[in-house]
Amino acid sequence: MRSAVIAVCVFAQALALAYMVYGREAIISDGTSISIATAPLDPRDPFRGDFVRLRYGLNSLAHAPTRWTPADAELRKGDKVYAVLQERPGGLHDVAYFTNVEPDSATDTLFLRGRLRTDNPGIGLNRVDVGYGIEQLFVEQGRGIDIEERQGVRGGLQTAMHARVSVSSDGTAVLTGYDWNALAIGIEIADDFALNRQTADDNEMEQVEADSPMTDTPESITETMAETSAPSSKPSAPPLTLTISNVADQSVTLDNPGDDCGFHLEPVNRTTSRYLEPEGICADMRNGPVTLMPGESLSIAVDLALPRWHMSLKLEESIRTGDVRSFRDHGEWFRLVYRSAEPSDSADKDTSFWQGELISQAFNALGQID
Amino acid sequence: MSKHAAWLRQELGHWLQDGLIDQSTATAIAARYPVSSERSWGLFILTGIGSLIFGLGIMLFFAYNWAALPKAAKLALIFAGLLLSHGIAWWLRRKPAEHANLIEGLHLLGTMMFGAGIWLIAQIYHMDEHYPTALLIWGLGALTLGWAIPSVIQGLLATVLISVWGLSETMDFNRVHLASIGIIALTLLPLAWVQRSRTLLTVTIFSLFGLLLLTIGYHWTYAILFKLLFCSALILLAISHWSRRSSFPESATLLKNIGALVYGACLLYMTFVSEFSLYQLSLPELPEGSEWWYRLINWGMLTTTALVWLALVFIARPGKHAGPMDRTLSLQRIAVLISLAVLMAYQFAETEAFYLNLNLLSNVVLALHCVLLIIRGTDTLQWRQVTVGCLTLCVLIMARFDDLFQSLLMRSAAFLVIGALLFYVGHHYSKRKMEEQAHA
Repeated sequence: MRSAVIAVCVFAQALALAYMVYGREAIISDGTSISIATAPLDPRDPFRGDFVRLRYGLNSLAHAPTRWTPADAELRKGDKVYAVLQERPGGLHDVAYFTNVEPDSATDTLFLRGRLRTDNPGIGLNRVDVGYGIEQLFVEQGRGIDIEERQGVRGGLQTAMHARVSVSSDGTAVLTGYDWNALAIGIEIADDFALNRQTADDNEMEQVEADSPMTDTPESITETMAETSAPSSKPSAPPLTLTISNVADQSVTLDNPGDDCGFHLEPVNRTTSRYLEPEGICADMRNGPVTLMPGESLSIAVDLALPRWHMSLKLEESIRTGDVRSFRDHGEWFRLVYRSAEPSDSADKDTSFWQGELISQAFNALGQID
Repeated sequence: MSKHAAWLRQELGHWLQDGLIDQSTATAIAARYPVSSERSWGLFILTGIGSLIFGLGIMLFFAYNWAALPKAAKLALIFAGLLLSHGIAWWLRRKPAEHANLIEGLHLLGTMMFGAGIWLIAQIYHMDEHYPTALLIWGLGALTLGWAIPSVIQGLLATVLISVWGLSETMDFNRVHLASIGIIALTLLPLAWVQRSRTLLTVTIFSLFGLLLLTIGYHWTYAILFKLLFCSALILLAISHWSRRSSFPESATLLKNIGALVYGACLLYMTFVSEFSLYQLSLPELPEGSEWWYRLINWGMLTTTALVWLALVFIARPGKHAGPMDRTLSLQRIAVLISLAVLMAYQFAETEAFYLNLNLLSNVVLALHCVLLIIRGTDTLQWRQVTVGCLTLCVLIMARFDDLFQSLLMRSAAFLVIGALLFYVGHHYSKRKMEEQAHA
């Protein structure tokens, strides 16, 4: 009798392991396979060897709009959050919006089920507000460093990793592998990037900043600052240099019309930021094919003082436009982005262009790189 | 087998050879002092720790995560390791009893393989889930086998895993976690009792203490922690009195030692004067809305402990023919009741004078305990009790050096009295021992 009870206990242990395997294999075989852009880091687990910690845009609630039910719902650590996905140019998936109500799987809505990892989800870089169980990629010992080297370093060229993920109809995700982007992107900040010139207006501005948040800045002062804070003499090098390099085995063609209008400056937190690209910039541009052979690079001088790269700041009653450095908003982070045309727009565009997104590292008005 | 039982059995053999006793007498004496069924430390070290280290070695071996090794091969190795370890143990169970250690070790290795399997499947599928759940599943695997075999080592592993599960949920995920406390109290504590294992009993009691204090302190209030500790210690001491007549009499010493250690530390803490200690001892201002609950639990603990100890003092009161040892023991129980009354009185301490009087009373009760320990230890020639009493008295007088005596004269008098007392105790103990040896 005792032997039988022991046998049942041992069988239960094996069954528990088998259930874990079955659950994952079922998702891999029956789930929808997608790719999501990610950034790897390389820690180590004492019992599971090397693993690469993956950071996705959809880890941060600031990455996309939220649709809570009720609208003022206060979510707590451990609560379920669903990231409803949409396909982006190049076949990558990104989050369209976050919700706390499970989407109807019958409507073919593709979504990831995650859990809040903090009681205070908020705005900021590198935040992991939501975890989906796909944030660790285990690799053979020593391979973690290889991956990190291929990904690149801060301030240098970086190649985006695309995580291959299988998603079940209930939103459970299984990380199945990864690919590398064909293009690497990097930004270089000039030594004289920041606008340090002190003026009487700046001094007055600093006083106002000390007394009140940026949103309360008086209109007249903001206008003066935006207009006068451009460098008096042109710097020897552009404040920011963007480099794109073809790291694939085949040539790649980008669509970069005149004035480098294939690239855009945008805030990192697109959903919550008060910064936006001014209207009319790069409007009605025709195609501008730029072909990069394997190993070839494209270098773009980004002079933020030029109107081409200006950003608009939404204030309570008005919109101010200027060099992002002149706003002195050091908490805001920006990045340069290349996005191929949306699939719906591709009818009147040349589809031979490389499809996908290139996103630079973030930088702020002080010239710091994330 | 304890060293006393081993010595007795060796001596019985010699007595039989010398014709001092016959076989039936030897059997009767041996039966009077049964060998504890608890495993020896040798088993724990050789089998238990060996299996644990071997299991960890296998986990690290798999952790290399060879890219060339196919997923199916990794899974096959995990399942083969689990089933082989348990399978060989299961097969050996049908063999003679000399394989008992090996069987236990192989089952432990199997449970280690189960834990390794959980982590390695997570590795294969790049799972980044709620990690405490893995500890729970692993712990439940050890717990069920602990009861099925039955096995103290599996019980120990389960206690550690369930405790770490509770700790992770409380500290890492900020959750009130009563499930881990419930599992240890309702399944592992009974396993320790059924297996008559003092080791498992010790580990489960300390785990329960730790998890309970952590959960209440971390999530609720530190204000009732001290009283919870104090009352738990007294309840353990009370249980130790009744457990002497239970089916597991060996537990009495263990419960008494843990209870006395915690109670002594609490009582020493009560002798200090500070705002922090007042916060711990009294019931401070409580968050609005939950005040009723705090009061209920606070007074519920104190009242239950007081009733248990009143019953103990009444039931175990010394009879007409009681010896000096029974009388000192009875006095010590009354001292415990006084300390409990002092703690209850702290709940009403509103003036500084009242607070200082209670503090003074705590000092007196602790000193009384020390003196009674010394007297009983000297009477019964138990040097441990004498040592504990003397050392605690020294600690108490050192602690009061700054905050009780204001004048050098008082300090000098206190040190002279204690020094003289210790000299007398030493002399009296030696004299008693010589008398005892002469009498023998």
